[in-house]
Amino acid sequence: MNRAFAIWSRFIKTALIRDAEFRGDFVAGFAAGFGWLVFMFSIAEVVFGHTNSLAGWSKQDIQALIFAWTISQEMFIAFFYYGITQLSTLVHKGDFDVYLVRPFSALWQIAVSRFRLPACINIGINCVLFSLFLLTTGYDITLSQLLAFTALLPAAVIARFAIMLAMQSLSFWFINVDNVKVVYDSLMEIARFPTLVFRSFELLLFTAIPLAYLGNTQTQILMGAPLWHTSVITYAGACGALLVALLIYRVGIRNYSSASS
Amino acid sequence: MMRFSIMKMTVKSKIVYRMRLVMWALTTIVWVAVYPLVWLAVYDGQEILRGFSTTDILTYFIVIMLMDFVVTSYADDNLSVDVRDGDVSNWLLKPISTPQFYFYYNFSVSLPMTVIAFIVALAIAVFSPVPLSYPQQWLTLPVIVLFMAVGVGISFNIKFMLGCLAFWFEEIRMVQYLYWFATSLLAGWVAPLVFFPDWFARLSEVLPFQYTLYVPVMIALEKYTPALLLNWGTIAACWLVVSWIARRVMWKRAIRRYNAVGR
Repeated sequence: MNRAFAIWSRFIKTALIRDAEFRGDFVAGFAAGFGWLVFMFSIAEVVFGHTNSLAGWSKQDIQALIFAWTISQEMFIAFFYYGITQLSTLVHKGDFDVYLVRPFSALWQIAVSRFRLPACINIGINCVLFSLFLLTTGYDITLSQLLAFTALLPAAVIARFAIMLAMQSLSFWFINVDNVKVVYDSLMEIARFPTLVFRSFELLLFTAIPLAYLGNTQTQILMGAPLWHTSVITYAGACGALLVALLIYRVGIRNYSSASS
Repeated sequence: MMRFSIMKMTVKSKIVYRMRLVMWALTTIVWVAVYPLVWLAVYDGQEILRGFSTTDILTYFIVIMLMDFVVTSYADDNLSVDVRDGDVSNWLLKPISTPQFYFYYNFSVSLPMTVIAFIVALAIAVFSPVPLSYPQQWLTLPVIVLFMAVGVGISFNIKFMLGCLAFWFEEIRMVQYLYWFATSLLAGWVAPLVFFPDWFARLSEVLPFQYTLYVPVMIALEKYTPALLLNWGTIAACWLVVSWIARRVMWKRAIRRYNAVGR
């Protein structure tokens, strides 16, 4: 365990040095995070210009969902996104061998290899904006709801990691599937809206494609859903998805034969 | 012949990886599904919203998805990566102008994806519980093609200029993000522009973005008058010329800055 964190902290130090060197990249990451927030709020404004509720959710509920989605997205980007998305390219080019022969989990090394400081700053900014949103809009929530909401955000990160890992693991069977990132991005479009909007395949979003845990269930807590019940479902769903993704990855590794020359 | 060869080689290199195509198909299905379902939830029993029926809204998103594959250029991605890696030197030595090469390359990259998108659209047209609307006038088709061609030109010119920024700056992702956010809203990706506040719709009229996607889609839905068509045509043609001149000037300046080492 200590070794895992030692590796992680080393990668974080390297990433900080990189951020100091490539300032343009740093600003880009920061701007992208903020841009997403503005973009999603704009869409909410347009949608609620024509209705008072979307699948039973008020404008404030949707805005809370946007914050839940964005904060968990930035958490995922900060610690895992850029690392885990390398997997398909590493497998395709044969560079995965380098990680496999090292005396530590290849998955861990790859997943934590790209820490992103701008995303951490975005998490802070989003938390401040979310607090302002709660204070200024009079969104009626209790302290226990807020605590449960916060405690469920890591579950969203777990679910995101699981989805990305399962998709990236396809590279063990198929050549050159680096565009899975685009599929992931398009799936994220679904997660930014209430699952009830996609009524005909809502069950899928809680099971096979666990997008309901990326912000929906967290926001439902704020809307008055039962705390313990929703929390257990969210963590069970996210952890279940992670186990399935790890299983796919493990089976994939057994299929892996080096592609390097 | 050379242009045809570039296109043929590009298409071949893209269709060799079948799983990539499946991924594109999946992406397309998700894109087509999300916003129509969101807007259908907004309708919630209403027949018409700002002149759009549920049939119109479903058709709108299917057509915009199809047109996006044909019209939207990704020259900025290719050019910026090639500049950073030094690969642009290869294209500078080829007996075809570099912007032309990127144009044909990009256009042919989108061909297999367009075919996939078309199959997805066809499946939706057959199985959708909400009927789709189809053009009724014969004039609509040539006008769509004309406006799409103008859209292809505007999109390529702007995206190529974005790519050219890589000659000055090491990282152009921020500009690309801003452009993506702008086009998603101003080109009508998330909703028809008539759904936006009036000031926003007026602003988008004078900017180039809506002429790449929104206007061709509105023509496909036959939501135009001759006067509106003339107005759109004039502004779109102006943007095509302005963006073409700007792209040429920028490329000349960019290439003066470029120097390659090794290889």
